[in-house]
Amino acid sequence: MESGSDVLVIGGGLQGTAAAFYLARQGVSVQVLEKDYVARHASGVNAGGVRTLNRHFAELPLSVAAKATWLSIDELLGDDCGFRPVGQIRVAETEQALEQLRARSNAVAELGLPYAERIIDHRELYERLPALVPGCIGGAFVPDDGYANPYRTTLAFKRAAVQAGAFFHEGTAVVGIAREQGGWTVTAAGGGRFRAQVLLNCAGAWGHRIAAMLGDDVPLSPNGSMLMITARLPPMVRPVVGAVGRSLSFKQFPNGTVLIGGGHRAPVDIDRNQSRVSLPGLASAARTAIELFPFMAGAQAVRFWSGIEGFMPDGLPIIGPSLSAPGAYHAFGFSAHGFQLGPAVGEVLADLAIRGASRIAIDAFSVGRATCSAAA
Amino acid sequence: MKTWDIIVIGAGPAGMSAAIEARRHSLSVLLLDEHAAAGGQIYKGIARARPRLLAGLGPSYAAGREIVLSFETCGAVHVRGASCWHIDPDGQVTWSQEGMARQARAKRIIIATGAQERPFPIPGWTLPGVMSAGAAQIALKTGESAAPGAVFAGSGPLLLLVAAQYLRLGVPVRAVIDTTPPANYFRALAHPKSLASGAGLLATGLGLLWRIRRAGVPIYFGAGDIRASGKDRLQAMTFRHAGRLRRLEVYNLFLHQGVIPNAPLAVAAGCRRVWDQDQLCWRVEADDEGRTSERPILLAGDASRIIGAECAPLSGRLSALAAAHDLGQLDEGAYRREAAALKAELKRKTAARVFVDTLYRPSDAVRIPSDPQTVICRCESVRADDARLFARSGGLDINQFKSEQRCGMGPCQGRMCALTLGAIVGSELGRDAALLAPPRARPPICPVPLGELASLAAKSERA
Repeated sequence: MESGSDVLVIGGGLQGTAAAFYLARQGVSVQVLEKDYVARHASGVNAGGVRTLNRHFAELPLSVAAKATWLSIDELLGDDCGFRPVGQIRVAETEQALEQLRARSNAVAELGLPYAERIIDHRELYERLPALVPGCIGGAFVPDDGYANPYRTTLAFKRAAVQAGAFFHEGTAVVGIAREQGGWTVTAAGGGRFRAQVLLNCAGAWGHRIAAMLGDDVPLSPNGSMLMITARLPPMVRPVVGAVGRSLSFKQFPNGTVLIGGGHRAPVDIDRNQSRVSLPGLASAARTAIELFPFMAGAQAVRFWSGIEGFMPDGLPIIGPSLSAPGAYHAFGFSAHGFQLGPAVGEVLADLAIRGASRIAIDAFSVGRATCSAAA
Repeated sequence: MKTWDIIVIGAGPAGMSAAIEARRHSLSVLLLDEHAAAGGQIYKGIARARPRLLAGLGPSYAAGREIVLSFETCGAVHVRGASCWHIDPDGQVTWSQEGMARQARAKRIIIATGAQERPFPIPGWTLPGVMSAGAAQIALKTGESAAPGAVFAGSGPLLLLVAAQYLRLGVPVRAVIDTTPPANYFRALAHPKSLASGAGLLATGLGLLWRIRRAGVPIYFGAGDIRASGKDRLQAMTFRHAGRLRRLEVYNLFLHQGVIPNAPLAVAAGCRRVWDQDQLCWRVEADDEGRTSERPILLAGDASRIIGAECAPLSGRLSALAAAHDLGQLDEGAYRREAAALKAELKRKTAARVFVDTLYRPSDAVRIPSDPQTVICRCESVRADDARLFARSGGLDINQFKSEQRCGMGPCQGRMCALTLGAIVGSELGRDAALLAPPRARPPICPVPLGELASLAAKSERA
């Protein structure tokens, strides 16, 4: 008994659910196969940063396109996803750091995108971040960056996709992919069989396994990026904060809790859906947070966690057609900064599935790129 | 960093016994306990208890003095005021002590963190003036403080015990409202084995009941539908008894529905859990020596499975024996002999529990709030109805509900709500609770000031 559709999406994270939404909206029949439940992994537990600031230049066209969608996400999905464009600042603690930010700001301006990273001086920095430790020099500022609720966002895309006609099969793990009769036959653990013309690999930290089934060898490293959240505090910080030369992401939510990240890694087990925390990394993140925001010394950490994410050696995702298989496209390996890109990636995947080409430049993310060729 | 042979967490009867046994085999033992003195919850304050309190609390409490003395002279290093908040499954324990974060490493970690009370969410349970019977007993033990004219409501040995202790100390009790389902009495008595071994417990229970009745305190058996009400604090309660709705004006209500294992450290360290259909709770999967799915971690006492204070020392000794064997301190033969003897004695003593477990098995009515407005997660103000809606709209995994509505993400970290959430969702889905994934637990198991956490960074850089 086979279940057929135009497109099969493997992976019910943000990339997969967004793709399903954009496809269904255009009348394309789509099924999403998710081995656990939608937003179970990286998409549901990340830091929720909606950020264009400080991205690799190759990601900027996607990121700028995604930003436009974020700014009207409530209209698009009927859910504001907890998105707050509170702005993002990258703090420069030294003149050298500020010079770095200035150089980058100029380089960004030359890209000709409708996007700028504005340099702010000492006065404006402390106007926007009064709780920042004294002595910082300035910063880079993007006024409409911010944060959203990752779990809620992914669920909102799912809901909208279902409303538009997409089908989701949770608890459905892909165990086999075969090319049959000019299309794809995908088998799931438990015996389910699914047919489609086009396959989208949005399997996140498991993306390399699906890719391997298609014949693409991808050097993806599943890993965890640790986060911690505090008990509620009085409102002290409005924009999202990072700093040059520091591993820190810092944001205070409307309910007063503060989320501290910074990309400190922790071991994961992708076969048992397990992630662990490693105290030294968390301790380092805590110390950085206190150094930049002295009021945090009294904050209480109530929870540490990390999700399961897929990291690429060059830190750039894989987006684009499979090299080995026709009618199959990848979007995974977002290396802990895929959340903001989600809406745009979904549109790109829909484009690729329908027309075989993307309106936004994605060559830098090709699965065949030199930096990504593995020791085969 | 020195590596201890054993770190024991918890200085209740199981933890103390584990330490004593480990020391018997010449193992180095570090015992971390969050309180100022040994004794755990059951023997709390025993070292300083005055004769009047000892008499009031009864002989089972006074018996704790001996074990505390043996523990304090066994050569274990006893750290007081240590709140453990993380265990690395490779053997490192992190705790807070006097405002500083500390760490120690051991080859084996025995978690003996005892029990917690089963959540009993009724309408109005979050009003000031409503607390658990266990908490009322702690107040008695530590500060000799009691609330005159309180109502005790619920089911379980502790409920009657605390009411009787109040009366022995001359504190008036307004009423005891017993929600034990009448059918449970027949089921418990029908267990031929359990009646024989449970005769002692039965006798104790009847003794308590008699004492309470003799003091003129009304006892309402087979009661249900308990509700607390008041503006800003508890002012009255209602309940159903013998077909009638009754109302009592009262300012203190002590609730109780038995106890369940409390081992968040083990859960956050990654130890697997199983659903226990007898005790109607999740507990860490452990064998009869306390071994868990994580090699260095063992459980002892109520933290593993509710066995009571009398059996806890045997369980503690078994875990320590297993650890001693792992670390090569006794040969195979001696180990098997001693373990067999302890297991036989434990089996004999826990046989009586079948009676208690059957008699006091909580009904669905107390596990699943019928009033949809009942708060189930007090930290994040989530109600029973929210959970029901979730289950009815396709929710499969209670972790989804946790992510969506923050139930279990507040300061109590799920202690108050996890079981209730599981019960509601399980019953809505018509699904055996054994098939529901329990809520994921994350460290730290109690809040940690950021400054303390940061101090570990400095340490690891210097080390």
